[in-house]
This record gives sequence, structure tokens and C-alpha cells, in this order.
Amino acid sequence: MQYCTVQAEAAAVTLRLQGHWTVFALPEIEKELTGLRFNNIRRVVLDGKKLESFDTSAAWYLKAILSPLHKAGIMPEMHHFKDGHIKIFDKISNLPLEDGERRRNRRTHTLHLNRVFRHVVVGLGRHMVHVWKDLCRGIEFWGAFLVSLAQRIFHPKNLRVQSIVFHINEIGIKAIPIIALMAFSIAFVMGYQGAFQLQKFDATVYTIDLVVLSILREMGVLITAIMVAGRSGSAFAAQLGTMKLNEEVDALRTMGSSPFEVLVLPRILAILIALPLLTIVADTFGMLGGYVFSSSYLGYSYVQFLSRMQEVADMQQFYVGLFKAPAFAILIGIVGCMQGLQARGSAEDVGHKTITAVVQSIFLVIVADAIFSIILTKLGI
Amino acid sequence: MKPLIEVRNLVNRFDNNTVHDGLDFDIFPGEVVGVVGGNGTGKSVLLRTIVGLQKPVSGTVMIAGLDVSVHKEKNLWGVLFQKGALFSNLTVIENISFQLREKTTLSADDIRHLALMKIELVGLPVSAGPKYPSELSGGMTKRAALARALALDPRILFLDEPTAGLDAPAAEGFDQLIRDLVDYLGISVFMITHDLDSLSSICDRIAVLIDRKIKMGTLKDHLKDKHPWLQEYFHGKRARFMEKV
Repeated sequence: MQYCTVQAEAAAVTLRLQGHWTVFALPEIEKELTGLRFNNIRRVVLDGKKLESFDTSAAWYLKAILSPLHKAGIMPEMHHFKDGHIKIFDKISNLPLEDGERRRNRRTHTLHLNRVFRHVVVGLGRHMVHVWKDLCRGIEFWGAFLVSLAQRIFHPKNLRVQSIVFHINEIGIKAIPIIALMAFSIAFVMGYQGAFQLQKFDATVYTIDLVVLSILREMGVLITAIMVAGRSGSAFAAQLGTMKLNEEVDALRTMGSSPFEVLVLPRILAILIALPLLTIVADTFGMLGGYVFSSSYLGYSYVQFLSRMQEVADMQQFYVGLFKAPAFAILIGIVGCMQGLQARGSAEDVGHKTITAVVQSIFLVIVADAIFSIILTKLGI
Repeated sequence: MKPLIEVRNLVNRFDNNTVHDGLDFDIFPGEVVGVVGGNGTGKSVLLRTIVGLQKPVSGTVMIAGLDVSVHKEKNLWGVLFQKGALFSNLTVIENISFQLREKTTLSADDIRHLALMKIELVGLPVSAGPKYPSELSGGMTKRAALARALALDPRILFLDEPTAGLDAPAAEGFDQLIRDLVDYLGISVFMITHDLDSLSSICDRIAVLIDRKIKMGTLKDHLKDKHPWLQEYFHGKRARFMEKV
């Protein structure tokens, strides 16, 4: 399909436009007119007799191809155009469009080694500053949490029990199935791997020691914390982030309530209650996993398993695991809420803050666990 | 003149609540139609039905002779949502380029220039191009969203409360821009509004949603109407200045 016939004679050129000059046809039109040059032209006539439609994009293109003439002071003469088409062309011609050429040259992509180096160093530095600021904010948040907790202890009437119970249900009760399943499977896998190695020394009975001790001391609470960080830490960040964007947080503030009290405190208290309880669930199902494994693969009876378990694990082992739970809960809760409340701008930022909350809380949980391990080992517990 | 939009016997119902009970109206090329109605009379529902976002219980909507429930990809219309609905993870230029990239085979450079042209067409400074929607003021957001709606030069624009939340000069500027675009580009506009200024200054006809029906007419027709809601709407305290019309 032809969009334009060009008729050149001496110093004059006539462009007869035809068909539908729209944004959809523009690639075709460009292809057709790509070789068009105006050399030594004094007069340009545009004929729009057969032009059926004409939109702003086509007008822009027409203006662009005529711009060399325009600069030379030659105005196109427009013949037989419909009124509407002339209006569109005038409107677009009168826009203060910046010159495309100049703009194009500004975008240069050259690879300079020192720029890359600087980029890396500056990026690293910026990241460190960011981490440092996050850390300061976290400590501030922790302080604010303690202050409002102390206030609530003296005025427990204003404690939002309903909200806390709601969040315990969300964080704790709804997570029981998945955490039970995970603890069971991990205990089973650990038993399997352990027994395989211990067989070589004919010491498969120690498989029970291995599973029971590692579940009680480490794995039970760690699986729970990681799961809760993924389930609830992310939920905190996303909920609070969305509320922040929606100006709900500001609305609370204007109504004289502290967002910290209304939004953050119930969540952190709820996670503080739910996580230790979930840890007990994980411990229980971990033991069950250990038992199922040792009875089905190693052939121990119920009584044998229990008596061996009582020999190796006293209540202290259980407490070692359990006392870490509140610490992990606070880390997850604070990081989740803090990241959420820092969201600003757009939906994308909420997503970004949610990722940061999950990554940071899992990272902090593992670091804290390592520190606990070292301290407890030094203390000989 | 052949109508651009033909709505025939449109019925919308939610559960037992009938919102529209057999609407019939036409919108012609190059005219600006304002839609008014009390809260809950289904102004937005009507807009969503016409652009095919919502399926009516019965009735048909034809735009340029095409049934909208069948031809959704025709790019005959652009919609300016109330809060702009700009994609928050894209810059203004990228927002405007979106449809150009998806629906045409233009080169990246052309698309960029066309997007810049649209930015200037709606009266935004070129410096707004690389900004993200969260960095724009309310008026700029509306203009950027309008530029996006105009990306493929639709034949009709749907506007949902275009001047809501803008200060008086900004609202007036936006009204002027819409009228200007209608006059120059020959498009039609279907706009939900509560702005009495917009109604009197840029609308050719006004559609009133009332008692589950629609009343189309010029402002003068409506001013003469004796229906109590219309009386209150056009002769209430807020409309006093309109007595002059």
C-alpha cells in the first residue's frame, strides 16, 4: 500500500499523501519515505486530497521530515487538506519540540574502566552507609518498642488484646501444619543421613542422640524462625508498607494515635508469644520424626526410643532451644515492621521492602543463633 | 452524522440492585459529554461497561460500529482513571511508550520522540519525562495519564473525574486542555465529573443518571427540567453562579 507519491520538478516538490496516516502505519510510511531528500528545493506542496486519516504521530513524522526545509525558511504549502487534519498538523507543528538529533548524541555508552571501578567503590560505600543507617534505625525501633511496652505494662487497659490475638492466630495457629511437617521431615532426613554414617562404626543407637539433641537445641527453633520470617515478617512489611502508601499511617497519626502502638506493638507481642509456642510444636514433631525413622529403619521400639531419649536429653536441652525463640521473634518482628514503615513512593518499593525484611530477618536469626551457640558452648551448657 | 458510541438498552444489576435499567444514548464524533448523577447512580459502572471492563446484564455497546464485548483490542478509546493509574514502576516516558511498544512496530527512537511529543501535547515540561509517577504532583499525574491515554490517538477519551483533587487554576487549565484537544484532534470525550465549571465550560451535552435511567441534553435543557434532583443539583447554592448561563 502506498502512502505518498512524490513528484519532483525543478526546484519544487509535491507530496501527495494518501490512505490512513496513523501511528500503526508509521513504520510503513517511514520505510516508503526513507530515501526522500530535499536538495535545492525552493517550494514544497503537500496535497491531502486522498488523505483519509491523520493522527498526531503522523503529524510529528511529517513535521520531522520537513524540518530541514523548515530550517531553511521554506514553508510547505498545504492543499486540499481536511480542516481537522490541518488543525492536527498545526497543533503538532507549534509544539516546542526539542531537536531529536541533539538529544540522541547525549546518550553515549562508552565503557571506562575507572568509571566501573568508581561505580563499584561508590556503590559499596553507599551500601555500607545504608546498612549502618538501617542498624541505627533498628536500634531506635527496639528502644521505641521497649518504651511503649513499658507504658503498656503500667496501663494494660490500653493493650490491644483483640489485635494481639488476631495476629497470634495469623502468625502462630495458621502456621502449625507447615511447621509440623517441616520439623518432621527435617528430623527424618537428619536421622537418615546420621544413621548412614554411624553404621560404619556400628553405632546406630547414637542416631537418636543426634536427632533429639539437634532438634531440641538448634533445628526446631531455627526452622520455626525461618518459616515465620518468611510467612509473617514478609506479611508485616507488606501490610505496613501498603498502609503507609495509602496514608493510613498518617491518618492514624492525625487522629492522635501512635502508629507504633496501634500497628507495631500488637504484631511484635503476638510474634513474641507465637514463636516459642511454634518452637514447641516443631520440637514435638521433630521428636516424632526421629521416632518414626528409628522405628522404621533402625527397628527400635517405642520404649527403647523413649528411654534413650531420656538419657541424652534433659529439660535443659529443651530450654536451650526455647529461650532463643523470643530473641528471634523480636528480630523478625522489628525488621518486618521497620521495613514496612519505611516504604515510600510506589507499590514497587513495598515489594522491595518486603524482600529486604525477609532477607535481613533470616540473616539476623542465623547470626544470632551462631552467637548463642558460641556463648552456650563456652559456658558449657 | 453517524454516532461514535451507540448504547442500546443497557442493563446493569448487582444482586438485586438494578443500577441501570435500559439506557439508550448516542455520542457523536467531536463532542464532549459530561456525566453527572448522585452517589451510587452508577457513573463509574457506566464508564466501565462502555469500555468493556464490565459485562452488562443485557444490552449492547457499539463503538464505531464495533461491539466492545468482542473487539477489545481495537485501540479506539483511551481511559483516564480517577487517580491516573500510571504504572508506578515505569517513568512517565515509559508509561506513554507502553502501548506504542506493545502495539506498533516503531523503532525505539521513534517511540521516544512520539512519547516526548505527547508530553508536550498535554502541556507537561519535557523534564517530567524521566520522572516516576510518585514524584509528580496531582495535576502533573493527570496530565501524564492523559498523555498515556492519547498514546495511540484514540477516537474517544473516557475521563473519570479529571478535575477532582486539582486546585481551581489547575482544574481550569485541565478543562482548557481537554477542550483544546477535542477541537484540534477531533476526538470525543465522555467524562464523569462533579465540577460544575467543567460542565458549563467544556461540555457540549450533559448526561444525567437519574432513577436508573439516563437523561441527555444540553445544560439549558437540564436547567429547565423540573425533576427535584436536577433542580437541587443545578440550582443549589453551589450552582448559584450558573444562573447567568
